Amino acid sequence: MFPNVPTYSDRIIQATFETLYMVSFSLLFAVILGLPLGVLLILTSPGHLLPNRPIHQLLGTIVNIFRSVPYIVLILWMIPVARALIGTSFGTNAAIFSLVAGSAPFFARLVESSMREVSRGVIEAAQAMGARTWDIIWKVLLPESMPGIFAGITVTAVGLVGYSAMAGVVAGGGLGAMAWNDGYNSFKNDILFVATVLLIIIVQLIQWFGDFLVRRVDHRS
Amino acid sequence: MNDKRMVMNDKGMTMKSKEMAVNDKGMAVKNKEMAINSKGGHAEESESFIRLKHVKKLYYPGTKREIAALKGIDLDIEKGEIFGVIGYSGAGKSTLIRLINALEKPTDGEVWVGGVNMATLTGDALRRKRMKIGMIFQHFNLLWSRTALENVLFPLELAGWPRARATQRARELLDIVSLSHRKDAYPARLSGGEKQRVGIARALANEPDLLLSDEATSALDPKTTDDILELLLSINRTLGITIVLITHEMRVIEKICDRVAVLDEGVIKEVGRVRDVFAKPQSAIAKRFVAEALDAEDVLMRETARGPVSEPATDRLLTSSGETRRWRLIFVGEVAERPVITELIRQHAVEINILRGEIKRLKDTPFGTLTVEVSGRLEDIQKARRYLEQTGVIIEPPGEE
Repeated sequence: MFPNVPTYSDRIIQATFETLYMVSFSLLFAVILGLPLGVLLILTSPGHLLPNRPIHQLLGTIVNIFRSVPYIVLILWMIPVARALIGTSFGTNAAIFSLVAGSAPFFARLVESSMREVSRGVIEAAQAMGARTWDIIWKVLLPESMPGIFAGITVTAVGLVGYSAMAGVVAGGGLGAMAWNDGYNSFKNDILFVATVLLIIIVQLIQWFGDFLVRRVDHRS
Repeated sequence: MNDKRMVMNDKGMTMKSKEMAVNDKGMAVKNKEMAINSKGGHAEESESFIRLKHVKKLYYPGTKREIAALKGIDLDIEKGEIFGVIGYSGAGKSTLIRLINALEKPTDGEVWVGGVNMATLTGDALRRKRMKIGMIFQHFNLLWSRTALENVLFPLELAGWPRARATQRARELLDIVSLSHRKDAYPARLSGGEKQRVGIARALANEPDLLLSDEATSALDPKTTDDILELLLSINRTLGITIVLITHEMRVIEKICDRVAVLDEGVIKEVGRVRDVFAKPQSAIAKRFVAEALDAEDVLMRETARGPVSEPATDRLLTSSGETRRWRLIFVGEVAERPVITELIRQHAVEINILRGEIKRLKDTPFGTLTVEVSGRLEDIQKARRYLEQTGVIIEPPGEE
């Protein structure tokens, strides 16, 4: 059934780790960049705590540009950026640049929409109690939108698994690259199959863990 | 179950406030001062505790969407009283109450609270002032991500209390609102009444001298409404906290308010002691609210009950020959508890036919209305009217027979 799997077992394990590496670090940076971006988007929106039309529109436009460029094109645009910053446009580290560029704006939008769910009344109550804007961000907006944020992280992580397969083909590394190079192009369908199954398992695990976290922090019902 | 809790609550209040006195001496002293103020009827300053001077509020000024929410409000609220603002939705109540803690800024005019012009406060000064003004809401506005106890901790965290003391204080506060047994429950698991109790505990956290209530009972059923009103009343009495509330329900006004302002289309149409407004509403809108609280037909009848009644409800044969009048008698205060009608019949040659009647309590004041038909000779009817008016009964329609 799987004639090439034994000989390729090291390669398979390595590719799996590369995928997990790319996904987890991209996710980390996507959250680090996307969370404050999302908070700024919501705070500067009309009628919110710090309404500021120019900043809101500028941020919104940047986010939209990144989100409307197809990921495969974004990879090409991020090649010079990676080269400038880490000296190479090849390998898993270089792939992380385009992965973050593709997922952080997306995650920022998810943060913005889950924070929009926090009722005006609760924010007003906090203001009436003498909360600073900073207090409202940390003690109201973030905790109250936690289920949405965790769900957003989960969606982003699943998306990153898919993107990382593509990024791997261009920059090298991961299960996507293995499926393409060692599987499809080398006429080894069993490798292609194993790569697919492993990607499915990773996605399932991410989704399961994400759902678990969302349930843990959701006290709305 | 609810009844039991309320009874326990009433008893609990005195105990709790004693505990609080032990825990927090400064507060107890302050309360005593306030109690003296509220009893004496005048605050330390010659100025009122809350004073709105010619306040106007426009939304979207200068644009096509411009709306005048408040059109020149003058209002004085004294320390220690429970002051109600009643109006239909859109009357400007929400805006009015939010001016007091500067969640809304007036377009024109001034808002003074405790001798401070709210417009002059910014940054930390405003935040500290707001900490001394508690607020509760129609939809409770609790953080669902926090338990009841953690919700009460929230304002203490904002005020920078050390964790251990804050927790201790939050427990005491939940005790005051009889909710200690639910301290670890998330709001989603609490009933409406319980949520509002958490809201009240949270509002009291930083020892405010003023509590703002924004339709706090409007989302609750009548029984729970009464429980919450009872709680607000005992907080006002034991802690001496001034309460300003807005509502569209006369029930709330009559149960706990000392004075009421009737707000309509951004204008105060009437303001006065609740018993006076109930007894003699001046404005059309106040009459409508009183009518809703009493018997609608009863008050509307005031408009039509002029002159002799053409169709007495009773058989003519049963009444002695002579005149018949339909009166609406209003009893305010202790006269409502005296056997006035019995005396009237004993001492006067008139017959009384009672058509409808109602007695209720306006906070501490007994208040009754009685619609009667009086039959007899004109002379005796006139004497009866004089007798009633001497005892303090208000008769509608007024005047001579």
